Amino acid sequence: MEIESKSIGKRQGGALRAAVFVALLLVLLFGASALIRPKHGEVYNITEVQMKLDALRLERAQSMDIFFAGDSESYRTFSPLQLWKERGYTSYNLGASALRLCDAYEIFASALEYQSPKLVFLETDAILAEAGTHKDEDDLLTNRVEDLLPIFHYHIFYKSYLPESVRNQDIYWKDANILKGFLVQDMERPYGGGDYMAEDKRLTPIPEANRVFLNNFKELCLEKGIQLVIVSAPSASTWHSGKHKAIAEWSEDNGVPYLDLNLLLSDMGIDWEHDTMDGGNHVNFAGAVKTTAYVGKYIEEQFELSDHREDPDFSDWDQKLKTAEAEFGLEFGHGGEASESARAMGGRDSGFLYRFNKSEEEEGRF
Amino acid sequence: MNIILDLSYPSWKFFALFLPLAALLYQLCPRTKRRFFLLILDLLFFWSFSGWLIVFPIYAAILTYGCGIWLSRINDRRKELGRKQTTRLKKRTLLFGIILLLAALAAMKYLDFFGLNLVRLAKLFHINFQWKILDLLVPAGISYYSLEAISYLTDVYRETIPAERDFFRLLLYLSFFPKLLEGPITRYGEVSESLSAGEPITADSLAKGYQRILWGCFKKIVIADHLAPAVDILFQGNVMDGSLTVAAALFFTVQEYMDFSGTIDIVIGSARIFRITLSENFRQPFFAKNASDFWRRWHITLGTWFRDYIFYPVTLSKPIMKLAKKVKKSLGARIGKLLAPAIALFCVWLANGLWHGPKWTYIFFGLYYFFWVELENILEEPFLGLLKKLHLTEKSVSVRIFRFVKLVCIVITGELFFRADTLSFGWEMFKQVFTNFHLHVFTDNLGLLGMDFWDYWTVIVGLLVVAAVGVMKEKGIPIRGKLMSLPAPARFLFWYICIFVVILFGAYGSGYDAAGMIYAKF
Repeated sequence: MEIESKSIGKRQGGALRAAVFVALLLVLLFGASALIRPKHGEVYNITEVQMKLDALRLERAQSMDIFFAGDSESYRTFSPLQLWKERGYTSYNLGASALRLCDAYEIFASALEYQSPKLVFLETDAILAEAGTHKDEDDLLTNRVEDLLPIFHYHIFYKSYLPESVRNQDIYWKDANILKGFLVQDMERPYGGGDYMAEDKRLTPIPEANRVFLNNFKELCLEKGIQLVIVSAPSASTWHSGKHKAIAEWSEDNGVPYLDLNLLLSDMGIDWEHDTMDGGNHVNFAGAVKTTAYVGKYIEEQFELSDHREDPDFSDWDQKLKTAEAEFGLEFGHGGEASESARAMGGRDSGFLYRFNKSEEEEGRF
Repeated sequence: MNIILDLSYPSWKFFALFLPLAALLYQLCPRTKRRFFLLILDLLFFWSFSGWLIVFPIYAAILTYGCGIWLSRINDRRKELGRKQTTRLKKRTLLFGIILLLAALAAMKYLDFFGLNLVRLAKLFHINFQWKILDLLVPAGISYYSLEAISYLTDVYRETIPAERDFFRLLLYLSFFPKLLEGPITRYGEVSESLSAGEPITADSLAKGYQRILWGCFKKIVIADHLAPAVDILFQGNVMDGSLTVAAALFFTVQEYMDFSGTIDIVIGSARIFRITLSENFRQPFFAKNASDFWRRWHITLGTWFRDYIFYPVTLSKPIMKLAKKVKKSLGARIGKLLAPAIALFCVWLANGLWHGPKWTYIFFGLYYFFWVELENILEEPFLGLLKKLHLTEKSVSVRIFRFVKLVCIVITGELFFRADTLSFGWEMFKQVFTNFHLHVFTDNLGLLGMDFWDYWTVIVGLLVVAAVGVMKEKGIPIRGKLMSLPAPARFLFWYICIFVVILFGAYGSGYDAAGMIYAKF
C-alpha cells in the first residue's frame, strides 16, 4: 500500500514538473515573440528587410529625392548612381531578391522615418507575385501558430547583426551600401522569343493580400505628400499584356501614374540579344543603363526635381560615385559598360554564379 | 479550410501536434486496446503519405502472416513429414513468401530501372525493344517494411521466434508509424512484446522521448537543413573546380549523416514516449577504424540485416562451401579462406546499393564499399605487421589520424558518387580534384552557396557540439546521468536553452526551403 502511494506520488510529481516546464516554456515563447515583432506590420523575410534598412540608415537623413521599391526587377534595373551622374537626383533602390510586397512596404514605411523622398517608383513584379507574410498562405495551421508566436516566423532576426569586416565583404551588402541598392550583373543570356506584349492575354488578377499592401503604399504616399509611380521593368520572359491590364486598371482606378517600360523598349533601345542576363527575365548592366537613362528623362519631363550636382551639400554623392566605379570597375551612365575588371570580379559573373542564379530562376523569381 | 498535414518527422506538426495528441489518446485508451489504437495511428500516418497505397503494407502483412502460420504448421507436422521433407517444405514456403514480398518491392520501385536498362542492353545487340515508363508511385517505407517482413519470415523459418498467431500484432510491427519512413529496421523478436504491451506513458518516458526528439531536431534542422541549399547548388550542373567537388562531397556527407541520424533520433524518441525501444542505427561512425567498422556504426540495422539474412546464408550455402573447398585445394588455404566471405560480401554490397534505389550511382556506391572492405580485409594483416616494425600500435595517435583521414576520404568519395545524378557526372566532379583544384574558387564562392555567415557558423558550432557528444559517448561518459544529477532549475534552464537554440538557429520558415528527409526516399 505504501509502495503504491509512493509510486502514485512520484507519478504526480513527474506530471506536475512536466506541466510547470511546459507552462514556463510558453511564457518564454510569448515573451520572446513580443520582443521581435517588426515595427510597422508583419513581414515575410525579416533578414532582407533588416539588411536593406541597415544599409539605408547609413545614408544621410533627409537626403533622398527618389525611392525605387519592389523585388529583383527593381534592384537589377534602376541604378541610383547613374541617375545621380546623369540627372543629379539622389535616389535609393529598396528592392531585393524575391521580395514580397509586404516586405517592400515595411522597408518603405521604415525608410520614411529618416528620409522624405518626393517620388517613389513601385515596380510591379512584386505586386503580382506570391503574396502574404506567411511562407505558404494555404498552410493555415502553421500560419496560426506563427501569428500567435511570431518567434517562429522571425526566428532569424539576428542575421542582420554581422561583424563589420564580414558585412563589408558580403556582395549583397556591397550592392545595398555602395551601389545604393542596385545589383550589378553583366552576364549575357539572350532572350530568343518574339514580341511578348503582342499577344492579348487575359487579365492576371492582383492577389488580395497584395492589393492591401498596394493600397497601403498609396495611402502612405498620400499622407506624406510623396508622388507614387507604378513602373514595370523590362522583362521579356515574365511580363505580358494580362499583367499590364491588371496594373493599368488599378492605376486608373486609383489615379496613380503607370509607366510600363515593356511598351517602350525601342525608345530605350533595349536589345534582348545583349541586354538581359537570364534569357529575358531581368536586364543586365547594359539593360539597366538604358532603362535608368530613360527613367531619368521621364522624371525630368514629368516631375520638378532639383539637380543637386552643383549643390555643395550633396558633394558626397560625387565621392560615392567615384568609390563605386572604382570598387566595381564600372562606369555608370553615358552608355557605360562593365569593364574587364568587373568581369573578373569575385565570381559575380562567373559560370558558377550563373548556375546559382539558374536555380533561383527555376523557382520563377529572383 | 485547407489544412496541410505534413507529418514528416522533422515537421512541427509531427512532434508538436500529432505526437502529443496521439500520446494523450493512447493514454486514455484501456491498456488492452492501446495496441489497436497504435495500429489505427499507423494506418492513418501511412495514409497521410501514400493514400490508397496502404494496400501494400497490408498485402505484405497478410502474406507474411500467412507464410509464418504455414511455416509453423509444417513445423508441427515435423514428425509426420520427416526431417528432409519438413526442410524442403519450409524452404519452399520461405522462398514463396520472400519472392512475393520482393516482387511487390521490385514492381513498385525498380520496374522502370530494369525496363530502361533492358532497352539499353537490347540496343547493344541491335534488338528492337521498347519500354514505356510507368513511373509508379512508391508506397512510403516499402524498402523498410519489406526487409522487416523478410526477417520475420526467416526467423520463423529458423525457429528463433514462433510464428505470430495474431495478425494485428504483425501488422502493427510492420507499420509502426515512427519507424515507417526511415527505419530503423527492427526484428520482430525485439519489439513485438513492447509494441503490444500497451504500457502507460509516464512523465519519464515523455521527457526522455522529447529529449531525444530535440537532439534529432538539432542535428536535422540546425545542421543538415542549413547545408541543403549548398549541396543542391554544388551538385547542380557544371563542374567548376576540384575545390568545389571536395566541398560538395564533404557538405553532402555531413548533411546526410545529420539528416539521417537526426531523423532516427526523432524516430527513437517518438517510440520511447510510448515506452517502445527501437534499435539504435548510428554509433559515432566517424570514430570507426576502417570501412567495415564504419558500416557497423552507420545504418547499423541495415548492416546487421544484410549480415544475418544475406552474408551468413550465402557464406554457409552448400555451393559456396564447395567452391571454397575446391579453391582451397587448388590455390591455397589463404585464398580459399577469403573466397566464401568475398562472394557473400559482394552479394551484400550489391544488395546494399540496390536497396538504396534504382540508380547506377547507388549500385556503384555498394560495389565501391565492397572494394574497400575487401581491400582492407586483405591488407589488415600486413598493415598490423608494418605497425609492429615501426614500433607503433593501433592506439598510436599517428595511426589513428592516418585511419581517420583515410576513412574520411573513402566516405566522402563514396558520398560524392552516391549524391551525383549520374555516374559520369560523379566521375567528372571527381576528376576535377586532381586536374583542376584551386582553393580560392571555393573561398571566393562561399557567399554564393545559399548559406550566409550565420549559416556557416551555425553548422560549424553545431558539428562541434555533435563531435563533443560523440567523444563523450565513445568514452562511455553517461551524459544523461550527469544532466539528471543537476538540480531541477538547472535542468530546466538547460532544456530551455536547447529548445531556443533549435528555434532560433533552425533552417525553417521564410528564407529556407523545406529540405525533406534524405532516407525517406530510399
